[in-house]
Amino acid sequence: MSVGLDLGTTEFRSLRDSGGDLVARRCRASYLVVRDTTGHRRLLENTQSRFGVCGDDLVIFGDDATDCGQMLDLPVVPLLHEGRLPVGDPVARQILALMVEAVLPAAAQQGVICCLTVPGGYELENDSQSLDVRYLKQLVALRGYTPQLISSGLAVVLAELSCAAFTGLGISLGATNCEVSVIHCGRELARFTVGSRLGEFADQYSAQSRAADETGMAGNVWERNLTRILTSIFSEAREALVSEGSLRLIQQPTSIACTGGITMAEGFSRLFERAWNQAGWPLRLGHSRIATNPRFCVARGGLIRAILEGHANKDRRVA
Amino acid sequence: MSMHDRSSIRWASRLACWLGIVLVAVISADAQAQGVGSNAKVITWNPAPNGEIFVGILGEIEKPGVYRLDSASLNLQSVIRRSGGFRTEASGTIRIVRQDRVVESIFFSPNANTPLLAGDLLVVESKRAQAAISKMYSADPSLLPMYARAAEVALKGNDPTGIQLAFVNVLDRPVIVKVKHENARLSHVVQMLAQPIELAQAVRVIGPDRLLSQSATPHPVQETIPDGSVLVFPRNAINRGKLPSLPIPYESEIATGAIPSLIGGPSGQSPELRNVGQLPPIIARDGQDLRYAQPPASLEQATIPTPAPAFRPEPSTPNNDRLEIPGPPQIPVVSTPPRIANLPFSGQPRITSSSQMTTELDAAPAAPAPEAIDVPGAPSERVSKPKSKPFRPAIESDDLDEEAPASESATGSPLSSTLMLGMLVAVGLLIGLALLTRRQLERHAANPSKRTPAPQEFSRNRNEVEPEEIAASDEIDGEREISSTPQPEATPIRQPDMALTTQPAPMQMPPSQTSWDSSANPDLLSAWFEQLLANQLPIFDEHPDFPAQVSLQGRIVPPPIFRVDPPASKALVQGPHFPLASQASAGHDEVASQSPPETSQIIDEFDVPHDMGPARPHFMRRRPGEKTIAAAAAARAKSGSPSAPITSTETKPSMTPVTDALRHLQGGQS
Repeated sequence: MSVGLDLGTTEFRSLRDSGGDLVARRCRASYLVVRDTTGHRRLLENTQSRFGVCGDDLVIFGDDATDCGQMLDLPVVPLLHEGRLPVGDPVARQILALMVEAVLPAAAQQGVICCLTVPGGYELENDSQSLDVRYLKQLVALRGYTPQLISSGLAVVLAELSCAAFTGLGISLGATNCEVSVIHCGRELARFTVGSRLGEFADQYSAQSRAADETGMAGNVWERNLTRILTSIFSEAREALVSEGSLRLIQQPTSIACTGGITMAEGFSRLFERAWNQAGWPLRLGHSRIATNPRFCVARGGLIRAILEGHANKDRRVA
Repeated sequence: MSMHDRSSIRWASRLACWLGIVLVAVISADAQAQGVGSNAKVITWNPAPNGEIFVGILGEIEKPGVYRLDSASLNLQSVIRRSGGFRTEASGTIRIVRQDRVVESIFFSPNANTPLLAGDLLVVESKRAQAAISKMYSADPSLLPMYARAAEVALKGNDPTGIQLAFVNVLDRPVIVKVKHENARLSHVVQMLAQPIELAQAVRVIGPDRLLSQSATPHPVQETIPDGSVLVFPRNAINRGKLPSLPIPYESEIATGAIPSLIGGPSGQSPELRNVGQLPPIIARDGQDLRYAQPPASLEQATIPTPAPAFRPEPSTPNNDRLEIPGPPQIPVVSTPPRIANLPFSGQPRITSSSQMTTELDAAPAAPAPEAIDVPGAPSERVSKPKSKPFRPAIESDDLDEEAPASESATGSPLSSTLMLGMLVAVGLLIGLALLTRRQLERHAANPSKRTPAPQEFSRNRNEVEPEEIAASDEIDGEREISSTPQPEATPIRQPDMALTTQPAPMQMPPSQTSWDSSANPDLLSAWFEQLLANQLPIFDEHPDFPAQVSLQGRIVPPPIFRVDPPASKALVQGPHFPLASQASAGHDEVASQSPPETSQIIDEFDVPHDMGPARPHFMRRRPGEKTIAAAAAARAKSGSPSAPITSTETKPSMTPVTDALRHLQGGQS
């Protein structure tokens, strides 16, 4: 049983192979704190919400926190604010551990590989991993897995560019960070990460589409802003990757795979192509592919990597 | 085991448990209704004893009779082939008599494989009789006598020597005999079988034609039986000890002279066919051929000297597994040795030609199951239990075939209930297993990749190039290599062409990567993994598994809350938000740039007298320290200083006129 785990800023997702079936779990990475009163307890019990007790407060997890927040008109607290673990907040870390345990089932046997992705901006190499990354890996290890950290860009290429021999550019437009990875034959050559806060754009898009539905206004402003920020992201990535020299390794025309919540917006592929052309990449674009299931695209790439690694380890043991 | 497997097993086990519970409840209710000592209704299937399978055939067939078959040849075509094929008068329609009734009427097809059951009786219908009877039933009433005569002639058959009759429930197998025309009456037949004459009233006649067999009225005892009729005797009503010698079944594999085309020529054209198809005569107890005997007088004297009371079939009792035929008690029962030709065939068949007759009773083969019948007045030592169940496959009910005596019945009831319970539980388990198997088959049908074992086959050696090697070959170690060769030296990980075809949105492949050779090692990638790569596998959502009771340790750090107030011009009067300052605020930046207001200013802002509207009555006394804005304003107005602090010793406002009126109405009590 191999597992791919996608620890995103807004949602935790896992995808595993369970007897030939793909079983997914997901949970919003947020919580809500309400006072421990009889009314709140009765409300949570009636709505079958999952909550914990912390002193005089009740802590509601995941999607139930969002629902109760809307019901009680209270703001939910993001667990990974700006894609980072909370500092000096032990309760938030406990909630994080609970959510990881809820999303990630216990391993059937020791040593099963779990490929996980974390919000962008972390150094994924072992020698330079931050305390946050080690903490997340430890949470995965406590479930009985052997954690392997990969980038979201690599996961996107593994999930979407199998027909291109896992070679191309993988772009993950996360809620807080955007990752552009140069992948050659399933191996990551270079990675560029920038804080883009595209999640706010997604919120604006949903708000604007709602307003457009009400007023009949078109979302030209939003499209223009999104194109602008995508162009800036791609321009920065181009400069960084060209200066690093890794673009010379990938063959042309280059395939591109893109995923993220913002890709579900209507007309995103058109905006993406326009921003790519405006960025002026020194690559001949062969094919751009937007993930068909962006919610589990990264987790599926992690699962593919975990399966490949598992069988590679088996072959090594046999040898 | 996947989640669906577990849920399937769980549902199947639940279903089996509920089915078992329901069946136990039904059985218990049935047992309660039947009483303690009664047996539950048991549906049994009696196979052929000793594995013997007999099938009888009569009518327009070259070699009518009873045939011993094996299970492999138990089909209609085999029987027709063994019996020499149809006569020219055969209409091709065959009726199958099973379970004492006509269960099927089919048109013969030589290429089909029509299964039969042991004990079946086949009646090959005649074209002539069928046409005559049809005309008789549809003719003008004035022409009815003519057609009736024609039908009578047709029903007599074209065999001047006699007519064919089939007996059911006489032996453990069908019996087919040929009797003379003048003896083709129920009374004569019963007497020839050495049975009480009253038994003739209980015999049911299945005519050779569908129209005749549909007659609801019982066949008259003294009326001529049509050729090819089937006489259904009551079950267990035959005293087999008195039966004369009956024809033995045919043993030959294929009838001699059988025509391959299954359609025989007219009788008499082939010497083989002339010889076959004729039956040995019924031999009376004294060795007389019944076919040529004078049956009524002589047989009556021989077998039934005095008329017995009217036959009345009685249901069996627990003490008696056989129907008792009331007979004269003063006549001792002749315990005859078994004469029923029911032995397995050994050596030369006894019936080699129709002319062969059994003239000696003692020469007849010993029957294997001489089932003596309990007769009232008979000595008890002569009573023998049946050694085997009836031959015919039957759905037996306990009220007909209750073979256990009363003592065994009382003790056997719990046993049978236990057996039934076990069977029903087994049936429930089988149903659950069938459901599981069906689900598995559906899953395999939906996802055939599970039949292929091989996730191990999509290892990296599919292209015989390890990724490490690829990485080493592509390692950035020289600027020359990078700049000179835009194409990587290492062969990329390739996929079968099938993966390209199964992509939901096919991509344009780079030209350099079209060298994928699926024929080199086509089974490296499993189909499941290909579907995973192509994002074609369905994803099943599962709820995150949070623990039920969670206690978090520590102190919750309140998150930073940013409040942005709208401008005062847009502030709603009835809303919960009030401007923090009297000046219009454009946003949080301007608010942050301002100095925080003093607490006294906020209080003063709150204490500005507003238009409170008409005074409302207050029926309750205020609690100590309770203040209202109006009261504070009144107090300040009274003190003369608008910024005077509000203390808890504020004076209460005066009563309103309405309050005073209410107090007056209530007698001075609030």
